[in-house]
Amino acid sequence: MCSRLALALLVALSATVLASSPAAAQTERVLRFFDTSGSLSVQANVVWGTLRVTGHEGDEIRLSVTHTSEGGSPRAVSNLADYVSVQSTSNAYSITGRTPANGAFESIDITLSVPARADIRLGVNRGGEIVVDGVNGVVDVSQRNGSVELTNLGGSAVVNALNGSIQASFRSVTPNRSMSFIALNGEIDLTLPARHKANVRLRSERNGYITSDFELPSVEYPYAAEPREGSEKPLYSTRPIEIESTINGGGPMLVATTENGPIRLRRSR
Amino acid sequence: MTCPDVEPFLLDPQLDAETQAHLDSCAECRAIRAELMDSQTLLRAHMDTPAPPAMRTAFYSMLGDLQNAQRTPTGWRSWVSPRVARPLRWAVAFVAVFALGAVSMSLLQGRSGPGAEVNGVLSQLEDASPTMRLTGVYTISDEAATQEQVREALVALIQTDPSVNVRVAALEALAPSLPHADVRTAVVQVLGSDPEPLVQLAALRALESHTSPEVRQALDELLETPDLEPLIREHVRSILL
Repeated sequence: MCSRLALALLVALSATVLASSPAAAQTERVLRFFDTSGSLSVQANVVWGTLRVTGHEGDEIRLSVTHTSEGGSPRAVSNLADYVSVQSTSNAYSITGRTPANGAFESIDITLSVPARADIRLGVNRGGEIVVDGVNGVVDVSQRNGSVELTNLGGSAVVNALNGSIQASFRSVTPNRSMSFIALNGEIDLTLPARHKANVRLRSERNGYITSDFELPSVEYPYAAEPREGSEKPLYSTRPIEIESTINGGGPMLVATTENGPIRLRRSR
Repeated sequence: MTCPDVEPFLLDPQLDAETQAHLDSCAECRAIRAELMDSQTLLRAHMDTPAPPAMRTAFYSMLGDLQNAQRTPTGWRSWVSPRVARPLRWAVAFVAVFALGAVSMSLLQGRSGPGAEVNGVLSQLEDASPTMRLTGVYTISDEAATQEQVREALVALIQTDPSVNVRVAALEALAPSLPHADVRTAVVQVLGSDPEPLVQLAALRALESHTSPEVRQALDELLETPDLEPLIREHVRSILL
């Protein structure tokens, strides 16, 4: 009886020690800035993979990485240094996923929780997704193949996507900053605060339409070259549609252009 | 105190008792002081920055000369009666004050004129934030776009800016400057060297109405790029047709 109890205690103790040991459980790393008195910036790049960034009120970065090999299933990695390199200055961090050997496929998904006030710069070189939520600094995104989804932003953004859609919604926008969203093949869907003022330049080169919840002076609804007969829904146009106008009287420039796809401008409630 | 005694103090905001007593009894000095104070208020309302140091020195030196001359009448003062000389001196002072005001105003206008606009734009184009650089590009007026400094700054952006969106915006802003050979050469180089299809497309759009032999050669070379985006290839062919 005593020996069974001792054995059970030993097993429980071992399990606790293993679970709390760094090698077994450290799938998240906390990165701290040396100087938080000024602006902060975080940069992340991967060849293949998803970049997921969430803003929080603290001053540290929480980093975790998931790896998926070709034909394998995703697994959280504890030995982060094998998959990503981290470089820093006093107020900036740069996190870069490793380049797959010999052009092989592997996906390195990076999840970051960053100070909401930080400026972030994200890039996916080959393919994946970019998801950002609750960041109030400048969001600078470059996406090759895959979607970009930005929600609950409180700053400004410049986004480009080669093959993939861009969706961005703003809770508020930094005053006097121009913004630009450019896609080659993909739709652009922007949601802006109801009172946001901007000069807008919207261009859908082909297979698209342009709609806007905001009144665009001198432009008639629906903002498509060829509205669908008997329907308010616009028809995808084969010809370029270009609009230069203002919202709420005008302000800094807001540019949205896609070579292939529609553009929607929404007003948040 | 006599009128000449109080003259140097007429612009003082706080008068001493003796000067104040003279003003209380002298309508002419009161009128001059009122006029001077009005002019000063008017000038202050339009001058939100101090005059350049050299101008201040020159002005105070001129005032000092006036005051010294007033103490020891020489030259023209020696033969002009004091009754005439006093208003004349004030007239000279008025002219000096208004001249200073006019020069300062023109300086201020200069600060907000084309030169100031160019400086403001150049400063924005060098900002660390891509949205600020973008703002700089989009606020370039037609007049500022003709300035060589602005063109050079835009060329630097299309060659080196880390943001695709800023490079695209700068290429669009440079399109009207393509008649300049140096700008055209820079855009052609970007077309051949920038790996981003969105930048290549913006360069193509800028160049499509300037199909010189140099441009056509660059387009031919671009077509030989093996992994060229199909949409870009299609666009190049449509220009070359």
